[in-house]
Amino acid sequence: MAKFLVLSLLRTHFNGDIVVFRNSTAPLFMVARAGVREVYVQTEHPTDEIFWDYAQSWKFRIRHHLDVTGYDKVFFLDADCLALRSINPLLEGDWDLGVYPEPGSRAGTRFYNCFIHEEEAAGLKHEGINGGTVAVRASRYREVMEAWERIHFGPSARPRYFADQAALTRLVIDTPLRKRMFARPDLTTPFAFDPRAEVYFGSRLVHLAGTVHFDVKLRFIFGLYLNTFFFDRQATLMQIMEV
Amino acid sequence: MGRNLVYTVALDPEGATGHRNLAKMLVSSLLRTRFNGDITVFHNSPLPLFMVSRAGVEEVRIDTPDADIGNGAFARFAQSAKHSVAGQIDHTRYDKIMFMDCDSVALRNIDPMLRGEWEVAVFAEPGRTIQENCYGAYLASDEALSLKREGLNSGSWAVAAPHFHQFIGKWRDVESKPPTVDGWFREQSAFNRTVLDWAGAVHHWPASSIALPLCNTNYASYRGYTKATIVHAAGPDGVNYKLQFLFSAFSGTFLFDSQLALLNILEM
Repeated sequence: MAKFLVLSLLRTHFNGDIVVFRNSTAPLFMVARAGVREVYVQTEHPTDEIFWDYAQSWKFRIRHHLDVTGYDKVFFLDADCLALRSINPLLEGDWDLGVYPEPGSRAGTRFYNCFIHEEEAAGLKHEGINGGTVAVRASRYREVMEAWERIHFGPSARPRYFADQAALTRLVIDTPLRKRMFARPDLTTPFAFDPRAEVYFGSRLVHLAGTVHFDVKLRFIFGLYLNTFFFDRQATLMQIMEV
Repeated sequence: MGRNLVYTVALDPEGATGHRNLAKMLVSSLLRTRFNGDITVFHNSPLPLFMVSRAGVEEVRIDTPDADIGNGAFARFAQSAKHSVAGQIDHTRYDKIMFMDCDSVALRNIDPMLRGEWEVAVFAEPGRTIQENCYGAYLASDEALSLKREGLNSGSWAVAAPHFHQFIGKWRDVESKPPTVDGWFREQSAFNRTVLDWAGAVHHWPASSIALPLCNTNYASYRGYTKATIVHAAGPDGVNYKLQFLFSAFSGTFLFDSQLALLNILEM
């Protein structure tokens, strides 16, 4: 999925650099792409369930491997994202923290609330924040990632569940930083809030949050990638494949 | 069980190729899902769909009116072609004859849909009533008020071959008469009228057999429509949008493998 994401960013003319952190020993690209760096990280081998939580925590741990000097903004994207159009406009503007509030969600509910006490949750109007798409002004990057990690590994108000996302939600609620809220059509989630093709086809960035079924995601993203970048009205690829 | 036939119609205005390409994708999907009958494509493309002919697939070129004649005449001609071409089908060679709109793709084998003792098989669109303007232009006044039925989609149906020409004749007869309401979807409404009046056994394909993701919210989600046997991109969207949408369903079904072989060839 990371390969799809990187290719989609390149094909939509993302004008920045891309870094992929992976624990695969094989490179994503046999032919290296300009502006793309692959960084191998060694991971532990806990059981599947713990590994998921562990893998999520790399979102903020990765800061130790990333020199953001010289950049304006740093955008973390889950590997199950695909750019259908240039994401450059998403990173423009004078703000410090860009996040995606899940439409119609409530921060006090299950997927976001493990760092929110019950009394606070009851009256909280804030939406839950998705943990898979986070942009930060580079000069604030370390500070935000440290805060995210501190909340994530700090005391929780209830049993830990989607802890990285819940920690980010807590951070966004509390932070005085200037925020940019991503919303459709900038960002859509076909497996969660935007199931209709006419909605997500029109977005800049698609994020496959909402299912844990890897095979379903991969198949979907394959079809979406081909119809975004290999489709033309003459259906050339199909004519080649089906002479 | 005898041999079955699927036929489709792909008519484009001069110079356009959208429906031709849709039909090619449909035929390819039927072959890839191992449909064990014959396939006939009626089209007006100057070139064949397949440069290398497929076994069991026949392409029949038909003449069409000039698209410039206006007033939607070309579209009406194209819609009515699903029954007007029937005279070119030799029903005696088949057990069942199925029509599929060319903006469809088979994700799974359709043979089971053609089994059973029935004369006509139809697909009722979940949650859509027959009184809607897509289906109800030929309803009698009492039916328009009180008939409780779902509207039938005329883009996917099948008829037992001995009844094929009788069914088509009745459909054409209904459509030739002025509807009770002007401006509604005449061809599909006539189809609904014909099935309502059909005295023989009518089989309803289950809701899971055909998905209509572009016009029916019940099937809008990816996981919803990819469980169906057939995805039918019915709806008001343009032909190129339909083609693009179905291309993702087609490629996700037939060009995908977990090692992403095609992607890794295309994007080394």
